[in-house]
Amino acid sequence: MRKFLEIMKRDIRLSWRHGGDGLISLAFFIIAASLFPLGIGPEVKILSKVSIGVIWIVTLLSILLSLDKLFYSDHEDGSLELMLTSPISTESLVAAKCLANWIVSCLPIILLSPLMASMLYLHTSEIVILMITLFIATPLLVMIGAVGSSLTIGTRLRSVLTAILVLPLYTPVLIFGTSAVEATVTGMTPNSHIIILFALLLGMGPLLIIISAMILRNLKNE
Amino acid sequence: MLKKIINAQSFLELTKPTLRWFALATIFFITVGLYLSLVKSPADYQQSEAVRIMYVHVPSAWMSLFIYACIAGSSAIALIWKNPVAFIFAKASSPIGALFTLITLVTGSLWGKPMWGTWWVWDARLTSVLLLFFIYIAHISLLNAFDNPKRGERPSAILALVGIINLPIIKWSVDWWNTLHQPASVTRLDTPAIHYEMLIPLLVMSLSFMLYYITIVIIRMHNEIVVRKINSLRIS
Amino acid sequence: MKNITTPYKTIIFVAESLFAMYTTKNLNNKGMKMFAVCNLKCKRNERTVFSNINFSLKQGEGLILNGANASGKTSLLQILSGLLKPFSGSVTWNGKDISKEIEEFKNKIIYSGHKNGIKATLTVEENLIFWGTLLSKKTISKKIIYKALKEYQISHLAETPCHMLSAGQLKKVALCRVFISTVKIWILDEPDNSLDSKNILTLKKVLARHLRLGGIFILATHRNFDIRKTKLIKLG
Repeated sequence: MRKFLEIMKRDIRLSWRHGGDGLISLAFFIIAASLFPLGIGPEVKILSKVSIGVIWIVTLLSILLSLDKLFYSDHEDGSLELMLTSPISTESLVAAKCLANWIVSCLPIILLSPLMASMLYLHTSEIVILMITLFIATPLLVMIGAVGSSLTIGTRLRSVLTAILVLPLYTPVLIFGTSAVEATVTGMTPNSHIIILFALLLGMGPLLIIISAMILRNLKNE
Repeated sequence: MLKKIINAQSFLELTKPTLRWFALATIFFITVGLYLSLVKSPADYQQSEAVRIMYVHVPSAWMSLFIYACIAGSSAIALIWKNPVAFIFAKASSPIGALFTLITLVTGSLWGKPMWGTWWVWDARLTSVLLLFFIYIAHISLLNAFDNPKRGERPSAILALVGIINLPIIKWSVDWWNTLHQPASVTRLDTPAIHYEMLIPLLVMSLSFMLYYITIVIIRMHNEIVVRKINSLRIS
Repeated sequence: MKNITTPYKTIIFVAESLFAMYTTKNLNNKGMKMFAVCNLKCKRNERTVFSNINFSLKQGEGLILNGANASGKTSLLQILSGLLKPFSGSVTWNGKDISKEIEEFKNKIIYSGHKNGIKATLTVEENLIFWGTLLSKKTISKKIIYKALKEYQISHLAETPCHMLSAGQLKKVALCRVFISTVKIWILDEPDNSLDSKNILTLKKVLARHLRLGGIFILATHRNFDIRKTKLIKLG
């Protein structure tokens, strides 16, 4: 537990020292979400219909951008192989890094999503559900990203390749997350969608961490 | 396990004589199948001649799913028993599967235009096939993304397995999404009920596509094995 | 000042030797733990890098690996630390194969590679606190860190961010990471890389002390390290 917290502390401290990696993801989130009204037009009816999808898709892309620092910078300076030979299990290592990435990149997005959502004319009750679904889904997105990111260590065109790998796997999360908020728009209850999201998190999450750890352990083997 | 003793050399020796027969069988069955589907089979009462696209569209769809299952199976075998032939099989099959998926999508939209008046519609099946195509692209990209080509085998095998776990989830979520966003007019997007006069050409075309796949995958595996031999000779 | 501390150092040396004799005598009675390597063969890119490597190390013994570049020193050390799987052969600690019990084995070793693993934006102290906590059973105390820094005469750099350090200073910090750990087995890949002769003497002293206290080390280097109770293997 102590070692888990130590790895988390180090990753968060590193993001802070690098000038706020999380803030850069946040800046991308705001800028990209603001591009949509510029491209679609400022009509209230249209914007409020697409707002849920826009917020979700821009969140996905922001998380995609933040995946780079998950494993790659540690691989570059050799700390990854040193951590793989340390007396901490590889799964704890992956989980600690995912959690640190989530805190640094996703938490600011979740906290700022009401602002962007209201700029895209989403109502308050739906914003609450949006925040809840983002809160449940973003850890899952980071964990899927961890699998994609660990698969592409050592490749050319790493960021684009990670995006190609990971975006098809993001589609179920995207679908359930957006349908939860849209259910509240049409007046139905979002409970079933949120429960499915939560089930995906609890079911796929540990499996994804184990797969990612397995990939890291075999990093040097051909 | 039988698979443990199949190595590259024995695979080459085993399949070299059979390749000729597979190729001949492919040509024969494709000719028969095309004749049956284009000439002999009846035109549909509501779709007239356009229904003949089905004879290419449906077997391609079956093949794309079948090939993905084969890739996932051989990736699992490769990871568990560390068999290099299994890795080569997955590497060779992947572009063929992507091709069949692309054919499915293209023939589907060609069929859609005369039948339902639109090139593309975001219904559950089409979207799932599109996502399957993206997963194939991701698999091929990962195979070729490493400087040392052999390094790409393991990650893409793991990706194939992650994909096979996720495919049912993706399919289920896309079905869910489609039922939520049901358009105002419900269009009948099912394939027509199959009469035996249509079934036989369909099965013949499926068989010929399967034989085509087997022929091409054997050729591609031979190529890959020979390339590896040349590379190892170059190094030593 | 130096004249006053030298007899103090002699007393420490004598005390450590007596302690080491006492513990090794007990271990001889109880049965010593042994690190053994049997018939190790490594292949990279289809080329055999080394084969038929055999050695065993008891507690208090060290191993020096000599060899030209690309002779497989790094590959051998990576196999010994569990990062790489050998083509054939086994590595055992205390009779158990490390590939079966890798999580337990990781508790006993510390690996130091070519790259330092030091984060440039953190200070020396923060880097060492991180590695110290990760590598030991209880929270590392700053006293131990400062003692190691003093041994390498870099205690004045404790609060400096690591991007301001030279290559030699970074290597010293990386070695301090090894010294503040309490594990028995050290696996070091060219630790003398950027060090000057004075620091290499300190390194030899520390390695000799590690052996006296019942530890094991495996070192890859281009130089000759003459330390008592070390074996030598030449690769390539």
